[in-house]
Amino acid sequence: MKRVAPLLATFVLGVVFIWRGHVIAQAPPELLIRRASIVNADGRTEGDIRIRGEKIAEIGRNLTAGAGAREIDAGGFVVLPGGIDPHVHPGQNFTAESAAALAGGTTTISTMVSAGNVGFGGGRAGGAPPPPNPFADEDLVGTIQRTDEKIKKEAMADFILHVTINDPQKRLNQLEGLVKIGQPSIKIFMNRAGFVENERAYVALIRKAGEVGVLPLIHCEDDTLINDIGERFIAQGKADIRNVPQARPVLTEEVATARCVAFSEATGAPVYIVHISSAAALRQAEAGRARGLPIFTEVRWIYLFLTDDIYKRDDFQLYIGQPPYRKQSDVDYLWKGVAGHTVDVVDTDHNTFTKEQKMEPQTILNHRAGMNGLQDYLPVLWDTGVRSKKITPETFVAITSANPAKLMGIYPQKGRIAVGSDADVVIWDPNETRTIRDQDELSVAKHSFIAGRSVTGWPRVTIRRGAVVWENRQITSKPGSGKLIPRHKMEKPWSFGPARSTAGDRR
Amino acid sequence: MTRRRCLEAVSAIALLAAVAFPFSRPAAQTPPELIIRKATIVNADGRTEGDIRIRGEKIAEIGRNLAPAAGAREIDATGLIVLPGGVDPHVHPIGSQENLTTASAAALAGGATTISHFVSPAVAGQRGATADEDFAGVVRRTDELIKKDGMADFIVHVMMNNPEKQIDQLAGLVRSGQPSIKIFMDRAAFADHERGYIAAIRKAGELGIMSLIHCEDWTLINEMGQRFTAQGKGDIKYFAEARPVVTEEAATQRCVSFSETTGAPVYIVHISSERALRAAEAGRARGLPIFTEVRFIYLFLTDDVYKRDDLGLYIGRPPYRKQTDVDYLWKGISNHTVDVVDTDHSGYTKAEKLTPQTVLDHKAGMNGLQDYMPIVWDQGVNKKRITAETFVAITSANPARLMGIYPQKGKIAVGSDADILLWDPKETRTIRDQDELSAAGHSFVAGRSVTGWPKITIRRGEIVWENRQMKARPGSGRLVPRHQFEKGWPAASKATSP
Repeated sequence: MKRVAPLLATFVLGVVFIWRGHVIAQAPPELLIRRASIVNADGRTEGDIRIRGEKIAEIGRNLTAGAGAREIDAGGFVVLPGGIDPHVHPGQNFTAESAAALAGGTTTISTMVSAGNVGFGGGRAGGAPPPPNPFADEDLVGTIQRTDEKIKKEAMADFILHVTINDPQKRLNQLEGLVKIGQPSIKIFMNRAGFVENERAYVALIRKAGEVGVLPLIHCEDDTLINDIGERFIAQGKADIRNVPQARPVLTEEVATARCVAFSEATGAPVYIVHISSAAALRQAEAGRARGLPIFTEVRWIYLFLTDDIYKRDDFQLYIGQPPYRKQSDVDYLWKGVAGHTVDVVDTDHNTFTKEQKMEPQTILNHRAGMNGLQDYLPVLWDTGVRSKKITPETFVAITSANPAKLMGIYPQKGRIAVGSDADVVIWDPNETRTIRDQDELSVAKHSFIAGRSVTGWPRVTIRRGAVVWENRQITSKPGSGKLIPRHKMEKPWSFGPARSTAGDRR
Repeated sequence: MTRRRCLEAVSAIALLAAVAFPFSRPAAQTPPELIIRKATIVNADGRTEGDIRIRGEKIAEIGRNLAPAAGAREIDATGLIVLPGGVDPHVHPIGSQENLTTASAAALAGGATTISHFVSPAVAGQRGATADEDFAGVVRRTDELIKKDGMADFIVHVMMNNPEKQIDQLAGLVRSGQPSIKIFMDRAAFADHERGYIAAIRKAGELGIMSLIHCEDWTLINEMGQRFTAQGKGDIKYFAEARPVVTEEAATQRCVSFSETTGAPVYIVHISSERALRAAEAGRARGLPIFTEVRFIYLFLTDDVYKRDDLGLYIGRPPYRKQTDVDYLWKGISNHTVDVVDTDHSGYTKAEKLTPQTVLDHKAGMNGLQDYMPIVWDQGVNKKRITAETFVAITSANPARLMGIYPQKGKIAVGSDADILLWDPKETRTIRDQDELSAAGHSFVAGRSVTGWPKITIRRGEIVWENRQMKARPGSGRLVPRHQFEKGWPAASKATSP
């Protein structure tokens, strides 16, 4: 009987997958996308795209179809390289979060895995300490190998992987292993007590990362200030999570960003600043870039259309993320940075908390940060950016695909529609209008904090390495078809090419 | 005892006396009244012409053709400029030979009538202390020392080294009349106690205590210094590279954020670079109570100094920067985004300064008290970078305001202390080691020709420097009781526009 249970579970799971629309497609020998308006970060062309196996084989006019080829007419649509979201926390279910990504036009996502015994398990709502990490003794390569096994079993999107460092002294000599195994990035949180206690070691680690070609992704909020202000708020009876924008003001982000820029300047290492939310923080990064420093910038999509007005809502807890939402002037400045190419990447910082988890009691110092966004962020960005003429489609591709591909060392395999590249292609309907609904969300979060929002511009067909994985609003991929993508290391010169010269943004 | 030994003893005592009391020889008899005739008086907010009547320690009257009282001494100030005595809030009267008397002498000879001392509370078990000293105790102990040795007037800053414990002593500091603390961001203790220091800065602000903050980022400095050392570049000639502008800028930005978070005023000491000053200016532009001090050495020296053979003489923290930084600091002074220019004086001897130093271990600070006002005058007023009014603002009025002793000090006005300089803008002198009254016994800028020197220095009505002779006696200086920081006092710019 004991042996029947897993079998039964597998059967039920299988039924559920088919019921949810995971129709397993037989890949044709050739796929031809006809009359494609192809948009890359550096310009657009018209033509047909021939896909053979996992790669783009040819781009040209009136291509002759091979025997058994499937042809898709892209007339009236826009054809974009698949989205690359380098900032995703897919939790424990890589299948469901892959589905959300593919349905939203993103073909490559990330996972972030905590190394060592600190911070394992993510959210700390309710004050529960994080559970002990059963893999605390693993080295960084071991962490990647273990996660690769899970990707091979569950993933449908392609993956990259960032290891979160909590014990910098111990990891200094493991960075070269990250380069060898092809996942040359690390995540560092300046908003955790562990950072303050190990600052010297973290700075040494950042230096070493730069020397060996590993990109540090850095969360820039000042732990000392956040805690000082937070504890003061609590002492004054203002612990309510509604006070989070005042308790975690722009200043705490700005000063950590300035310091992060200083780390780059002092060590010569590149740094990638995650989820910039404010004009003041972006200005600090811009000042570093203007001095020629290898400072790279990510804006989380939510900061491009929401402001701190949301804290007045009854259900505002659904929206809680770190850093908090800012003012309309910040929103405007971030868009200016996107259009002016001082913002390299826009992505989600996706998380999988359910509505129930998000609505659990939270305080300003102890909250469940992060929300489900993978399925909707590209459409919302298209809608608020391209349709409202803040940016061109080329810039849209730069920030959602080409730039993250370059920074993560997977360009031009990913991030570009070109002969020889992976056939990660999205046939995008710029005119489709849909209302976001909880019941359509494929993430285990099973809801969207922006449900009810009407959005124009959606992926009609998503192709990942030559396989049609989303079509007719159905996932047509199977768990295990996603791959961990081996990456190049960061190399000098740090500037990363054509994205800087993205033409067409004259606003 | 043989006759010879007795003679030896007597001559030793005589020698000692000569060394110990070199400044007290013509012990001055203070006249009942002092009148300065035909004075061109320059204050921070403008200039007037007239006579100044001094009675006792105070300025009694300013007017035209004042009638002298019986026994008055009259001094003709024709051709001279009359300035309020310098207030240098950043002085360390330390060094193997330096004491409050020698540092006072250097100050008075250079035109500064009020200087400071920085004192760390004694810690039980260290340097023979049996108990931890509290802040009020530090002020009492230093006051005793000033009463014995001081010739200039003094203010005291207590160095905070244990914020969690000392935060409750801040109120006592206000009662002691010395409302300021010093915090070093370039020390490991800061990185280890960040939360405690921020809480202390907030509390200080609430109590009207000024936090003087040394802004260099310990984490970066130490990481870089260790690395330079490991690469065989530990020699002090790499000082500027191992301690680059970014380490000062990052700490200054953070210091500004402390003020913004806590609402407390902060006084950023010895700004050396354009980028650090810009960080402070950004905070001031947001209306924050950020106050700025530039050390005089950064106004005329650059990192070219590190190519010299005797570079050890010049070592101070932060390092010297580029000419563009020098130019920007002057711009800040003329635009009133720099509040104070002073010395960060230390009285180390040449031998002390030339002992081997490294990028991580060095003897920072140098003797400057006797020469900084002439050099700032020469570089600033003579070169027409700033007006004489701005000179008074940065060397006297602004530090007096920020330290809570204005208008008792920092202004020539009826009722103010008679701290007055008769300044000869035409006198040219070459700085020489043998003229230095600090026990440092040398100047790092010896050989430099400078135009503009104090001819007479008057401290609280007493002529203390005249005919290039020190007239003051040890013990004539005082600890000056200070007001708390005035909340809402605008940036000095508004108070001192020329």
